[in-house]
Amino acid sequence: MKPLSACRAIPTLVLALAVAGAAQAQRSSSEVSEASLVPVAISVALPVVLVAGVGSIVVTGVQASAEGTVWVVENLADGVKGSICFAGHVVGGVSVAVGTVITVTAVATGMVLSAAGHVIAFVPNEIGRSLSYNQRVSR
Amino acid sequence: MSRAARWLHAVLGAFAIATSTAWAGQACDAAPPDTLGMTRALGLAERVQQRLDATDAQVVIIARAGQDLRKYGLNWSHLAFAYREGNAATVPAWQAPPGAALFDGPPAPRPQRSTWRIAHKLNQCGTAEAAVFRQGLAEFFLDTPFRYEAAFVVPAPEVQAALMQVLTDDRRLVQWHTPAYSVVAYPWSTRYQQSNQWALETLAGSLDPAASTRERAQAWLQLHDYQPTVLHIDALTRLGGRITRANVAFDDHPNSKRFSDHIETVTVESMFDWLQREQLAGTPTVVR
Repeated sequence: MKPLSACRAIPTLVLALAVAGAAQAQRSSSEVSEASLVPVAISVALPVVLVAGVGSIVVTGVQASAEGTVWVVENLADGVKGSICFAGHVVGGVSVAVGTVITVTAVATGMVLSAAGHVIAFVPNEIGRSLSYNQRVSR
Repeated sequence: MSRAARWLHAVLGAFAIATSTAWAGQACDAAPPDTLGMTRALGLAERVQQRLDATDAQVVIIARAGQDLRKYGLNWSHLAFAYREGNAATVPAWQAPPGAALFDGPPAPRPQRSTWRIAHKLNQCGTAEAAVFRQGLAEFFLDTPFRYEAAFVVPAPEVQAALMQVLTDDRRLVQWHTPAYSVVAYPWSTRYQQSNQWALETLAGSLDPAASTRERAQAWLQLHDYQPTVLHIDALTRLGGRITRANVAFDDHPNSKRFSDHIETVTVESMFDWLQREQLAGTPTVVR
């Protein structure tokens, strides 16, 4: 399994993840449900194996720690393996376990990862990152 | 219609109101969005970004269609401010860090993109309270809206400048904020405050340094002839709404208006009309 430290290869993306993590903490602490808090994970980094952008991958391993979560995945088309990295705990209502098949949909703002028709993660590109932010200003 | 049927009709009507006017949140449902909804929301967010970038505005007033309000003659349900972050807030061209083994996303065009931030007030889980948030365009449209469309107006340059001072200052952004929330809050009372009302009063407070409180902001708005929308909501529907929803209240409305079924509240349409009439902003641009 790819070590979690490999997920820190692209530091510019950590900020976006910190935002997602803060949003989740806010939801659990205050039960704020402004639906605007995207109930999906935002990936820190995506392996080259997924860059083609469309198709399906299967989860072959899940590693969680205080630093974050890594899904080890395999491309169903060609068997190439890689890891998808998240800072903090992966959020969302769909649990991802070994054997979960994830559909990858490329959009102009990044990639949408879904399982059983529900979005489980969003992997933003530059444009996607410029569109995503969440901060509660008032108490 | 039987008594039971009338009651059911009233309660359903109240639900429609409670989840529509100044709609700014939804029930505490953490279920993930479906793929189509997510991609449509992200697509709209990007199109809005492009349209906003094409203007020379630094601040716009933007609306979304969170709920179907057409039976009230309204096309939009929720208002927010959007502002361009930083003077040169463009997205830099991505470059892979040396030795990076991972790639952060699919290849994408490299147009110069501004980062726009949304400032708005959101109701919390249908409760009687709301809070002010600063968000991205993606979050703004990820509320599973009724229509994936937006409308914005560009304020006059001096209005933009005044708003920018407030939107980028956390303390001032909540200066006219009241947590107590009712979706049909009366525009000339400070007991409750709905989302569009927060935006309206914040705008007034931004334009006049003397309008430093909600009361003074409302006085300024009356002086400048702001006219709220009048919703016709009968007594049975009002009663059903008050009983079944924590975020619906009518006790801030004057009895004379309430008991004649005239419920005045702040809507997107009333604000757009007033801004244009007072020459504070231009005509709305719709993004689909």
